[in-house]
Amino acid sequence: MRRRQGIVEKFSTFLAIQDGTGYSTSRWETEPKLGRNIKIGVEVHPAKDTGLWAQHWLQQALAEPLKPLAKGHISAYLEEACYYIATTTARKFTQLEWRDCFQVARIAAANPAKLFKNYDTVKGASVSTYGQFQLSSIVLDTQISSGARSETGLLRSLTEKKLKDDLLTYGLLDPKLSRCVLAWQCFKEIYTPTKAKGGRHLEAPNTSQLESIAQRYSQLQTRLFSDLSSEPTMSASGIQSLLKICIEATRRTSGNLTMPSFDDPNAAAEPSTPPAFEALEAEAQNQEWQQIKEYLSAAFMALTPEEQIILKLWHGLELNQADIANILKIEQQYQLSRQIKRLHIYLLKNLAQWSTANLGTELQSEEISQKAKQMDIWLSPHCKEDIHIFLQEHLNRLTSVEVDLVRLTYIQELDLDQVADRSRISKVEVTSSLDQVTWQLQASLIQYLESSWQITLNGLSSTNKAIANFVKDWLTNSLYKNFR
Amino acid sequence: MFTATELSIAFPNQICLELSDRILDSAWTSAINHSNDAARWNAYLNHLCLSTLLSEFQEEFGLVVAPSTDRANLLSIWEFVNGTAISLGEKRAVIIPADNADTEELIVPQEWVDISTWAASYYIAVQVNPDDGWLRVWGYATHEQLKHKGSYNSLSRTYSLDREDVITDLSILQVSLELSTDERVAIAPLSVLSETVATNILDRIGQPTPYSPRLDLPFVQWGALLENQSWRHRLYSQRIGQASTQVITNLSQWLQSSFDQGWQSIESLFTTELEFRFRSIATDTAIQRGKQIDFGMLLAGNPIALIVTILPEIEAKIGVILQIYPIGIQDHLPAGLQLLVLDETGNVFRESLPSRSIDSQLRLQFTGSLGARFAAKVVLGNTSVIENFTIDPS
Repeated sequence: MRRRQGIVEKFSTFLAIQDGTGYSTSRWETEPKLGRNIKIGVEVHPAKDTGLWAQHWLQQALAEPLKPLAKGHISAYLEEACYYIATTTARKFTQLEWRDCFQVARIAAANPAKLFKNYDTVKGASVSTYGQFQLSSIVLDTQISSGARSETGLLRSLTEKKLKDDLLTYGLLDPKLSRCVLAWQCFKEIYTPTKAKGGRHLEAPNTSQLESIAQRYSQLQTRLFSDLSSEPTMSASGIQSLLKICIEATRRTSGNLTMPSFDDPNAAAEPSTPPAFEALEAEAQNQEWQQIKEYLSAAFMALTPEEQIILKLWHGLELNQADIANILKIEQQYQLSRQIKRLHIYLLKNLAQWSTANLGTELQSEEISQKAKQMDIWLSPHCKEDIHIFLQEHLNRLTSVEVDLVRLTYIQELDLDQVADRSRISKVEVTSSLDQVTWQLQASLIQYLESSWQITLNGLSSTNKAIANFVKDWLTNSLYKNFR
Repeated sequence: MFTATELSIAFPNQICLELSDRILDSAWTSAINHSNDAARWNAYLNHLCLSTLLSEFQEEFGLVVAPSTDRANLLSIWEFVNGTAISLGEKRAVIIPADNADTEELIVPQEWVDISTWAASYYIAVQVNPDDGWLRVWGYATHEQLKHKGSYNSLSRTYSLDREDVITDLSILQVSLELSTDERVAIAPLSVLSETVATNILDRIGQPTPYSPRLDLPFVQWGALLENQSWRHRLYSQRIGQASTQVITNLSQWLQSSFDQGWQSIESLFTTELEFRFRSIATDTAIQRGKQIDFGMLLAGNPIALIVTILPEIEAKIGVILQIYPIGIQDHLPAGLQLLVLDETGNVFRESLPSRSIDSQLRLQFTGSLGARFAAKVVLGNTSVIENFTIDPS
């Protein structure tokens, strides 16, 4: 997938996926209303960068959740994150379809008010970093218990909140909405599995069970509706049809992959709020966040060298725990995972105590949780820092031809044809030179890690693969940022 | 489908455990004493959590973890409400299982939030998936969060907290267990129910229904009823059709060395090194047994026991000495504890003074004739626990 270029494209395009036999292709397609809107903005403020625009649209979307354009810009902006999370999740857990993951991520990205609900409490996080954290946990949360269910099994598996969301999305309004929710509540209160297993394929309630549910409904509706004269007398079949609507609404909302559309002819043009970039810029320089980073770096340095290396292998190089245990000659993998947990808790506890002393933070769960999020956001880039610096310096050792190829491919992000054309060599030569560069980077990275961290990487194939991925990821995702 | 191991990789900061068929079956068979399917299912999910999570929490948090009450009480709670209270070291938590496929919200029954002796610092969200064979502790919330950030649903009488507000990283719980003060906030008092009112209510809602009666009376009444152990047990017994099986300990059987379950020897009641505290009534004919009195978390960390000594006397009479002792680490009773003896009509005929915090025991002594029935009532604040006795040689 090609990375998007420039502000306009990043805030107005979505992935359009076309299915071929056994493969699919994707391209970026512009949503016209979003495209026009962001173009006007960029003309007025040509010098502002992606991060600031993201902050701006998020602020708008949170302030007025009904404004479709601000919401649209945010969901377009997060489209790459959705794609990235979907593909990496599906690669890690092969029982998942990347498309399902993508769908879930996209639906979540289209609702910034929910996705970024506690964003303001985590000072220092960029929109994309925070969004990615949230999206990847949402994807996993929803996918782990997915899979086939009977209609009744599906109904019982919902939380009330999910059901209400689905019914609203389905277009249901009160009093029908409340009737559906009440019927469902009575159903859930009474009808449960009667075996230790088998909830997924639960059979539909029989008539006498439906009658009990209807009776319960009649009892409870007095507490729900002030005017009962307009309420129907509930019967078994009445319950059945209300539950049917619930099922339909839930099935409908987990439908196919569609492009968001803003073609509502009734939607009036939105008066655009001028971006308050100065305030946003000031916020990005958040003092507190700087202090926290400094404190964490110092606390990290105070760990023993071995502890630092464990964290760097795990969060930095992203090796799996079996490989790390092997490299560090830790006998049992669970010992390693306990050790990683212990280090996290140690750092978090120190950060919490330091924050109380220096920032006046309370030591209750919520405040500790905010600090933990800041720490999570800080930890992974921090553990990658050494390696990134090394790779950056290593680029100096390349020949000038190689440097050109890297620049054209990864910084200017041209496609193969264009790179070959610009550098006046054949496509085959471009590919093989770039392979050569990647291979060289990998080999010297291994050498560097072994000598400076004093470990032996053992040449495990999964470790080599992780290192190759790391280099590839750095070339495609980090390099261009440093050259912009 | 995901295995528990894959889940542990996906959620490194949460706890994911396998539920084998053996674990499922044993939890299912132990959840039989309930009046309807929904209560049975509820007991099943709670039992699954309790049987797997305690040792896991103990290892994870490095604290002593225990259920905050005994099995009989658990059953009488699960008949009506979802949730299981445990102690995590000095702090109290409630495990809240749910079998939902999504985790859009953490739903906590009002009972665990608004009954002061039931409320806890932490509410631990567990997603239970028997079909796929795993459970996942996906986060927690504090009492304060539920009261201040959560939304109260008056129809289902639950507090719910959005997924976005639930704390999904359990290392935060661990740090909070160590650093935070009690995360409970003030709650409104419940009604004070007289025995007569309670009996009326019990008559009204004692009939089995296919759902819990928890929504069938105002919460302030329901909460007060449920909080009281003996009323709760009565309601539970009525609903599962054992209305007449109120437990009465027959002291005459003690003379034949036959003791009902729950009545332990003094040695096993006190941990060995604390046994010296108990001053034994040393006569050859005295028979002594004791039973832990459960006040839920009201007495967290300071458990007490009722010790009954009987002394066979002449003319078919039996001397009875009732004592309340602390059996935990502390060597004095909590302040304000009172011991009463009720006659068979329920009237008080002996009562101790309320304990002061320096007291190490409460004691009442009287003589009972054959055929007599009486009850020992231990009162602490609004809560009381009753033990019924008879002296019936037949």
